[in-house]
Amino acid sequence: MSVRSLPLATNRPGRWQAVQHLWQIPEQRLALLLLLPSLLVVLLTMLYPLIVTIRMALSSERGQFVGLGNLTRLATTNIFLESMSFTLRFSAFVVIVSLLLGLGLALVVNSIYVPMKTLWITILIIPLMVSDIVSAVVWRLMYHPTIGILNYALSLVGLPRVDWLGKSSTAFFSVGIIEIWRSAPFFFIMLYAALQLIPPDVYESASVDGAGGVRAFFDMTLPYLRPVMTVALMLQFIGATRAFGIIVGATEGGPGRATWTISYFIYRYAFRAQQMHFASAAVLVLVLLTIVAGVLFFRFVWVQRDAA
Amino acid sequence: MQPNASASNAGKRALVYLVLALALIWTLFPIYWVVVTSLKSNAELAASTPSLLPLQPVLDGYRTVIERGIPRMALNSVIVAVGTTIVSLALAVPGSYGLTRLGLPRRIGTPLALAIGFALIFPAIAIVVPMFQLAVRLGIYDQLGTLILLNVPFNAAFALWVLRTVWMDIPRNIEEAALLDGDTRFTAFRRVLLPAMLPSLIAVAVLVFIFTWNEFLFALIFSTSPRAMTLPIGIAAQVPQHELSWQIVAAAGTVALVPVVAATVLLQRYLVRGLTFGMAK
Amino acid sequence: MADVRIERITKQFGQAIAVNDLSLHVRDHEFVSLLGPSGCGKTTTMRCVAGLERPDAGQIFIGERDVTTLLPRDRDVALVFQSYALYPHMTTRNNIGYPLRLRGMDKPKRDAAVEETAMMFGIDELLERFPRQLSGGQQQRVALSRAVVRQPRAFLMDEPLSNIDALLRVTMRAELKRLQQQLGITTIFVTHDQVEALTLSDRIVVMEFGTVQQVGKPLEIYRQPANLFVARFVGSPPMNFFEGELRSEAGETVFVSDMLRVPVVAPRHAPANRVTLGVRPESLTVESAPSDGATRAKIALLEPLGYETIVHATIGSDVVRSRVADGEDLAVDQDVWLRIGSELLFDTQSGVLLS
Ligand SMILES: Nc1ncnc2c1ncn2[C@@H]1O[C@H](COP(=O)(O)OP(=O)(O)OP(=O)(O)O)[C@@H](O)[C@H]1O
Ligand SMILES: [Mg+2]
Repeated sequence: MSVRSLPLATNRPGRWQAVQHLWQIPEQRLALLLLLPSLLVVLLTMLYPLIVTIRMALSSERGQFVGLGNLTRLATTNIFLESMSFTLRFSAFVVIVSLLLGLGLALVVNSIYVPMKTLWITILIIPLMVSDIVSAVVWRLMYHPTIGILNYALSLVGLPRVDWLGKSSTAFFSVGIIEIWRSAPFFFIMLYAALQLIPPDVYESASVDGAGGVRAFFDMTLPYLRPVMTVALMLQFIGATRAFGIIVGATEGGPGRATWTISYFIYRYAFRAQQMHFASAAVLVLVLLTIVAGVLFFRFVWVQRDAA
Repeated sequence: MQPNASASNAGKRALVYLVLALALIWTLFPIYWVVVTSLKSNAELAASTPSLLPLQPVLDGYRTVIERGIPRMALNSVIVAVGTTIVSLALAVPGSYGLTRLGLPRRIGTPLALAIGFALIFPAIAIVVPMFQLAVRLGIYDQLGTLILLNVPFNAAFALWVLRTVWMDIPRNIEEAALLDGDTRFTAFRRVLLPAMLPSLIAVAVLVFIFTWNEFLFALIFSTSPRAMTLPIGIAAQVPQHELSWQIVAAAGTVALVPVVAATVLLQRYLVRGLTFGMAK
Repeated sequence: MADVRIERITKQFGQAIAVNDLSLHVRDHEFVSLLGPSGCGKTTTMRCVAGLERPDAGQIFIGERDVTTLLPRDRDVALVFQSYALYPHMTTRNNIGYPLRLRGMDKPKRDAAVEETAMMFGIDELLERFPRQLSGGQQQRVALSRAVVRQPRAFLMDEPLSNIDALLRVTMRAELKRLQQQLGITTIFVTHDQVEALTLSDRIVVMEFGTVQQVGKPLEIYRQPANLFVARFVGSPPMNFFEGELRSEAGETVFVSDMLRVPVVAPRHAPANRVTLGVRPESLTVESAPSDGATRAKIALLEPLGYETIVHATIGSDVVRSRVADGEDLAVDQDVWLRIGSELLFDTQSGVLLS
């Protein structure tokens, strides 16, 4: 029997026939049809709350219209300004240290001296998968004044105990380190992947040109890594400004209000103080900042392949 | 980096190993410490110097954790994570195909892609208050389904964004070859394209699962009773205020860590692929 | 098997016209090559025949059937892509067997057909490997097998040999030729490689700007290029051109330019304006002593290829190339005399062949 005389299986009636027919409609209409559910879900999840938030932010807790009242009150509320400032300082600290750690680790693991690279990658990305709340718990055990290992280590070398999370002077760094523990692996894996994409002949020609070691790093490696580095920095910075679980788990905003982030501020006002309208004003500020960040991000950073 | 052999090779090698040793401690010791603490008894925790190994390992912590309903919460977490993963992929797989493969003109496709991309950086805290009120009004507050509904948009956006780059990497010719071999657009999608992108699908699915398994904010606000509480909430609730019974929260934390660490070890290749947006193959 | 008739198809991408009112009749069992510069619409033409693009105008027939609006799957043609387009998640066996599977052929029969085809291409050892475990040449054979196994009505091949190394290419070229003769499947073949086109094809189609410039047997294309474009495009090293005019001198027609005076065969239609004289490098003989009718030139460059030597010589400011079998006694800067063996005349303005 010749192959040609066989009917195409897909011409026969079957389970998928209804879907088959659907897929025969013109391409672009099908494209929109397939995209529609995701778009609706994603856009409605952003737009509906945004509209409600705007309405709430413009009215008092009892529902009277107050115009920009909530926003002006926000501008004069110290703890909001402090939360903003903490969030930005915290995020900057976290991403800078994480970037340096991640970059260093990526270069080290990428070096010819490291056997079993897959194993190292597996180990080093574990913290990335650990949730914020669990990380906080994990590190509280490290930081604990008596049962924690850190103070024990200090005592071994004769240093006094430190109340890592309990003093505002150290809480910033202590919480920062938890976040760095989770975030450095992201830089590591992104930069390690980017290192693999650098063509080896770049180094070969560089070494022929007499650029070795440090020189090759700054002239060859860094320029190749820069786009990935920027993307990772933006993403992690934005992520760090949302810190919430880590604060709840590690300090509950304390000591005092020393470690309030914007998210924590909104949560406290909306759900503990029951001032949802006032909290909505803060949400509005946060959304506006996000839009600015988003525009910057997609305008200047995420150009890579979409430009192609 | 430089393959040139030189006298300083031994020094470099030593430095590299030192850094790796430190990285190993930095990465794993905190996790080790939770596990060790989870096996200690109250008496041991009260000792003035913590021991690196539990002197007399006991399962008190785990017993308490079971009494306090953590297994139920873990089950809830699984339900929410699986549900979110399935729904997100069901949305994102056809969505990303439509976005990249069906000749959508750039002037329509790019804004849509950017809208999806924007959802990736949209703060979750910003939707909490309106959604809370809505959930209360609709009577769906404190239900697992609600948690899934809340998690889906963000994870669908993530999946769409990653899968979009995956589609762009699959040569169009493969689809065309299938069309010529006798497939329709749909059967080519189902029988050729989906299997061809399976590794990436697994990567995205695992990541969405882990993100949801770890999710804290929605769970904190949208669940109050054990029937809807997820593991992260359960863990947060075990943190002792003044007592020293840290083995309980350590045990709960260990329960949460096990699947995550196991997934990382078993599915490392897929995770890396998803995390780096397909940059690493 | 069937003939393929392309009738006046046009395909535009936005402003760009990829295929412009193109017609072509590929006869049953025939092997036709599309030859032309990059971007001239070869791939687009193929894709229209395959059904991957819908032409804006015109019709396509395969056999008696008008397939213009049919889906690719209903046209029963096989396309071998330049990139091979193997299914990455399938083994060689499943790749080749896929079209059969879609036709509901049961596994034993399918395996038999796959193995027979694989044997023909010498890849029966590779059946359980995945595409990424195959070399370029092996992948290409898998792609060809996948096309052959289902005995399509027509074969379309878009530069199938361009991704493999020169040596293998020669082998594969021979294999393709044998295969096509054996199976007798109507084939349209796209290539950049003139040698490939000249050696493989029953007929060659030379294209430019989405239109057909000439269709003909390989030697016809080479010896009787329909116009200046074809003359310039086909042949390597390219044909030499001289611009000038025709004069009648003592009952003879003579081509006259600044440097040359060549008696030529009078064209049937005497042109009103300037003409271009074209001479293939092998029709230009190099002599080391002056003689009547030979033109003096100076050697600028010698390219010894072993079996022949390409001589670059200057006549005034023009560079001409000649192919000589034995160039050992020639030297750069030497004065030589060039004699034109056979020549072609083109109308300079319209480019049309006059002879
Ligand atoms: N999908 C497309 N969108 C826009 N323009 C296209 C598209 N496909 C082809 N073109 C344009 O149509 C023209 C013909 O392209 P085609 O691919 O057919 O050329 P080709 O002869 O196969 O060239 P090559 O030898 O380089 O493969 C080119 O100018 C090309 O830029
Ligand atoms: Mg082409």
